[in-house]
Amino acid sequence: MKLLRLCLRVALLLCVSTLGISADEKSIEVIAPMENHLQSELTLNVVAKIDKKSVDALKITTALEQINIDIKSQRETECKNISLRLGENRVVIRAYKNGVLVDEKTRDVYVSSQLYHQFKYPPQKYGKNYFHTDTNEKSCAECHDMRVNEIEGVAFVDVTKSNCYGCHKNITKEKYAHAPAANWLCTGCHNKKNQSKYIAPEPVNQSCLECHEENKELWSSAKYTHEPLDSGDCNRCHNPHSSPHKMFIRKPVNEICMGCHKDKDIQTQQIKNSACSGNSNGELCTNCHTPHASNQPFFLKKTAKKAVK
Amino acid sequence: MKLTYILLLLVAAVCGGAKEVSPSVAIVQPEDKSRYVGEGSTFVIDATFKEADTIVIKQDNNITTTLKVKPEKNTYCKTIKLKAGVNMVSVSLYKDAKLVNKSDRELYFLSELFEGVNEEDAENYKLRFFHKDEKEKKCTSCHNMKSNIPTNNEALEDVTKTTCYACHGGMINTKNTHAPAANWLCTDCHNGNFGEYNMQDKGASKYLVADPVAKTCGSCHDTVDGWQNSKFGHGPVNDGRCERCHDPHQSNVKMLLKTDSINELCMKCHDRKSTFGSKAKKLFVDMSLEVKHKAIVEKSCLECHEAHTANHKSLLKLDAKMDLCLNCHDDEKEKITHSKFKHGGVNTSQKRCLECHDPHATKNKKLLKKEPVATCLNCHDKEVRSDEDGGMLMNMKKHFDENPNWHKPIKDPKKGCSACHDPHGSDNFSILRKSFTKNFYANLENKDFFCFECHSEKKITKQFIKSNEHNITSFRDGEVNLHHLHVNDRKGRSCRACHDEHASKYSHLIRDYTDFNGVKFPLRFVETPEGGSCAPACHKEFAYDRVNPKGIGK
Repeated sequence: MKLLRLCLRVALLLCVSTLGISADEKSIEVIAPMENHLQSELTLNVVAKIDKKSVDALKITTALEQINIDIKSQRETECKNISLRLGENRVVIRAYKNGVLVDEKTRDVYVSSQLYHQFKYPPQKYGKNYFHTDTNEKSCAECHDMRVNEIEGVAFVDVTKSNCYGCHKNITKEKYAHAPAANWLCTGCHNKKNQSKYIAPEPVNQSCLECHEENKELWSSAKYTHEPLDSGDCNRCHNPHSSPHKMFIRKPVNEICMGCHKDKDIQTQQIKNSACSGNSNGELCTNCHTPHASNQPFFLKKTAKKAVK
Repeated sequence: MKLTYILLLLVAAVCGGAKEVSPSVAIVQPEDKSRYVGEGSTFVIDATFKEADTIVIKQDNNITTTLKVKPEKNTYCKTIKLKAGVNMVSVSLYKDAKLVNKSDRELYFLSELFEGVNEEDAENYKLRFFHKDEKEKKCTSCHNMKSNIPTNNEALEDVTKTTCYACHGGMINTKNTHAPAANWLCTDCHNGNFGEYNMQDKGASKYLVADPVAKTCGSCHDTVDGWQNSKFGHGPVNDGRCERCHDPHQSNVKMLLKTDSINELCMKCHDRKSTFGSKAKKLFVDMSLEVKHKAIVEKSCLECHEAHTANHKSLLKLDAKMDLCLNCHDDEKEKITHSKFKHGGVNTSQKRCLECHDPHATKNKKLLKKEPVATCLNCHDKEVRSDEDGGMLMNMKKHFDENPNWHKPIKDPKKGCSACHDPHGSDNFSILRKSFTKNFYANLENKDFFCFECHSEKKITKQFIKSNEHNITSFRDGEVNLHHLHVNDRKGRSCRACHDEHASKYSHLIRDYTDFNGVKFPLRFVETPEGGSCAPACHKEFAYDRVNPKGIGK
């Protein structure tokens, strides 16, 4: 079935190319994403330079959506925020003039996740790219104020006034939003200049613990600590921006745990109706285990004896 | 030519003489424009029975004294009581109820206490002395003018036998008398000597008293010498003028004071309205103000001040800044010296207690110099360093100016800031009268927080608010008490997470920004007729409605 679909796609592509689109014609130039882009967020900004004479409409197609853009303004660059899925995404950007396809660009983007084994290790061709360089930003400056307008230590009363908000607003759209993100205090964490102006240094725990000091003390005295805690990758389980789940965890508790502890998946199936069957929120694992650090083996909340009782 | 000149002179003499047809009353004493240092003025009037049968002395305060003229006597004397300042006295002679003669005297009584007088005006009047041989002659027909006052320090057994008594007997008629005066040892002091201040009067009277009198007083009262060693002296003491306050003869009160009470005496000079004015304005007190220091009213000025000399400024018994106050105010002493958290305003300020309090009288409760809030804002009108932790305290004046909704107790003119803070010190941080928290998170369960002194605890303890309990809180989504929701979970938020305990631009004292880990996050509170919404750092915009619940907490 899968094979069939692939064949069909190849055939379609061949057809299109024979219809006479010249590869030399540069009606659109994609600035973002770059080729084989790797990211961990589920949203992406597509930025493309358009030749206005030869293009009057754009179509952005992914496995999740198809977005049509009529080009009316005289600006050189068009941008659009799109949604992605975990794993491989193919973003196809097609340019039309009077309903006729004039140019087509394809970008493969991989959304990785540390929580799922299958998305943990992206194919080798993918690599991290950074957008916020002076060169790239120039193409945005026509419409967007690219300066940081954040006042250190004071959040925006109207967050839409943040210069970051316009392009990145979707990262805080989920129900539970992390205060610094929801208040657009971006540079609190994105505070290093390297390949981009706004790198968030990794491991992220150095930024996290600056506010969550009390945890630092609590965890440093514990006998056992969870591996993601040791490696400082708080963002492996938590989304530092927003999430549909409390504590900004990326998935419901159990899904997070089972992402690594696959073996336990089957076991819990077998012990239904026990203490592990959880409450209405599905917080199975955390009924007995604490996810960060504990003085008890297996990160149990109390001693095993008591837990059994 | 010479003849006409003589003739002209004659005419002039006749004309001039015509004016003397009805001569004015012969007032031997006092002379016009005389100045007095005592209140008694003795009038000596010449009058013959042939000329008049009645002498009427009329003062401008409507006091009239009448003397009968007798055939056998041609000189009459009477002592009248002057009032402070200018006195207009007229002496009229009547014959058969018909005015035959009249004469006026303008006299000035310059009270030592400057009561209602002006020293400059007094300059126009001259001090005159009676006891000179030529003047005394007039009296000798009736009085023995030769002093029989003993000079051997042995008082006469019957003081009425002294020659002075006859005329001056009226001086000693009260309960409290000065021994030398009551025993008519007049010449002990009235010895004819002059002092530094009255050299010009040398020989003017047989019974002159040296001015300043301190030396004379000191010859009996040893204490006067002791005052030399003190750091500070009272003006009259420095001048050696004991008689400014003390009457050397007699008084209605103890210590021979010139007024009926200590306070009255002090206020003669130190009242804001006193003409003492030019001397030293800072020595004024306005005791007419409503709130008076109890110590002064119930006791006297001398509770704190020395009358004569002292080793502390302002003639105080102890150091004015604090020791003196705490000598009586023991309860505050305990707080000020032993509290865990002290108020810089009292403990490290320049004027200590007097930074806020007036020691005498004010318009404000607790003897505050200004109204309660204004008193605090006197210092807190800028950022000031806290004695507690060395941090900076906010500019409260600016905060109050910028935020029109003030916490109710602050608006109360009787309470002000001190409703919650104890300005003298406290064991609670920010010198609060009761415990509170500095933290953003503070589970309020089983905590004895200050807020609940006034606000009902039900505000946070009741999870649901029934329709008959709406007065408990209006922060509800339908029946769900949103205070309870915020406060009572594992990570309960303290009141100050959302409320500004001082003042706010918003109703319900909702903060504009809440400080979380050093970042100021706006609460973005919007009020609607039946609820409102909020979008703080803690959660996204959540709306609540009392009538049509939005489903928060369910």
